[in-house]
Amino acid sequence: MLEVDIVADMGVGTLVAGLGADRGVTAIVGPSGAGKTTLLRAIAGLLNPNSGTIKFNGKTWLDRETGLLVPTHRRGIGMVFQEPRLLPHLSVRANIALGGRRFGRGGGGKNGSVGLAELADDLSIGHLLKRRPAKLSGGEKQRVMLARALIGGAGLILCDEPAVGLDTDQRGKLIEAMVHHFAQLDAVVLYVTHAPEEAAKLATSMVRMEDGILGEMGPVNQVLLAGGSETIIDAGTSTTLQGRVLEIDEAYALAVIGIDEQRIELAAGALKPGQETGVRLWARDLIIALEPRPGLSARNQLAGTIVSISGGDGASVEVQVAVNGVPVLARITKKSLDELGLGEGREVVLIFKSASVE
Amino acid sequence: MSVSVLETLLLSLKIAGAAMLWAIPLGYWLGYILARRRFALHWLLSALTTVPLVMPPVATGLILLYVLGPMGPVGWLLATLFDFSFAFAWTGAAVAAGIVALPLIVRPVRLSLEGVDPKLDEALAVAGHGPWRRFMMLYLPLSMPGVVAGGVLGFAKGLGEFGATITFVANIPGETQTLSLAIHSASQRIDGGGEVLVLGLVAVGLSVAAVAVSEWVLAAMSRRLSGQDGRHA
Repeated sequence: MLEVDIVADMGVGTLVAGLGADRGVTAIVGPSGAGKTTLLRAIAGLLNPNSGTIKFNGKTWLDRETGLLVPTHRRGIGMVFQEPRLLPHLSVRANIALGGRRFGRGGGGKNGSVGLAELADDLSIGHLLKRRPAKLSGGEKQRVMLARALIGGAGLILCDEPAVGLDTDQRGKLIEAMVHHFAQLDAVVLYVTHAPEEAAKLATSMVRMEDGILGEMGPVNQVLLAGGSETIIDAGTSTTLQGRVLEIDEAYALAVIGIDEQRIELAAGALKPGQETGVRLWARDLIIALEPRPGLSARNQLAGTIVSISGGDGASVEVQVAVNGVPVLARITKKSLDELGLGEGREVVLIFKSASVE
Repeated sequence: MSVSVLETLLLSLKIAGAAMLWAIPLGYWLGYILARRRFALHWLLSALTTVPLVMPPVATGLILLYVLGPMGPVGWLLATLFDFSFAFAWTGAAVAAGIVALPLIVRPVRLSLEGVDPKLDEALAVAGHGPWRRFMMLYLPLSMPGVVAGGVLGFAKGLGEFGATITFVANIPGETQTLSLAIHSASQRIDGGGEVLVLGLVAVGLSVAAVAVSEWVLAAMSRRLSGQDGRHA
């Protein structure tokens, strides 16, 4: 359990952060300049906040009141930075082994000693162990950094946008590796990113950050759907439909929204009758049914026609369903696609619980 | 002529070598704190370590004479406590050569340490390594080119030292007469023409050899330290 309650200077503005992160991956999502890196650096002990406390597994790392400050190298953490930080004069193996030295005074992990060679093979860098890092690709270097962070069994792992400089292919590989390894860890992982997509893939909980202020933490889905600033919502995995608020159901705090002749109900929030509104549907939250289904807790159903199916390389496919002529992206598994016998031109119903209103 | 060219050469090497024995560690320490620490009198220390480079060596010799000479405070203390004197001794020549060489050692060491990416230092700290191990694993290896460059420059400078040496410990064949001083003495003699030529060629040869060796070592070192040497270490 990591408990952070600090105020720190961030170059421009001030970071005010209260955070309690448990075992598992917590994503901190926000635009650049939001203070995400400042927060991680304070937790790592690489900068000293103006006030506050940082505690990890019951041990105090920082207390400005008493002047207590545990130096970075005694905190027993692992960190993957935005850019690879490898020693040029050491081999890849030695660079990974750097992370194997722990003093056990701060870390609480029980991840044991994973074999270095085994870990490297797992991260597809096993064949590079004897090489110097200079000529490795960006993606390979970051996987070496990941191996260094993992090898020591640290109780806390900090990731500061490790995938940001990589091309799509390398980014995918790195994220896949992190998903796999973080899932097996008995550690607190903080993952900083500006891409909600990455958060959705990696994290179990999520918190937004903007202008130095940390928002409420919650399950990834909820926080992603709770709206928030447009700058950090990736348009790639969602579709926005235009609608009009027909009426507000005061008793249930629901807004009835008409999308052409179809109707859906969403949390009313600040919506007012007659208002034009966009309704953002997330591809991963859509369920496809062959016909309207009563008796579900998910109240919203939109009828449409499948216009295209594009197979991903993994288990899922993306299905475009035209709702009143607007193609809505839904992500379902290949198996569902086959079992339902879905194909282009097929009339289907999109079922969903919630959507964000903008 | 009572001292052979070979003896003069060996004496010069001994004096320059002894000078490096104390000037390289001191120069490294000075370069390290100038590169890595910030303190109130940083500018003063930085200036002081550069002064012997721009001051006339004769003036450096005079200062040494006033401080370490028989009449100087430190010289008097050494004589009283340990019955030791730098006056007219090769050890004094080693002090003079080292002082004059010091700026040439400090500068490349300082530059090479300033060139070490602080991000790598942070990464090592995160990985659990304390200040001493970070020095041994990061700063020391990556500053070795600076040590070699500074050491060779300083050694060559010490070999050629003239003004500070002759002022501080005079020009005594077999004791403080280095190559440069021997060339000077020979050139004063009516029959010294041949000896001047031989000594001069030896001095030029030594300098060229020193620079060549350092260039070669530096090139090999920088390939190795940057991981570009193609070796699968």
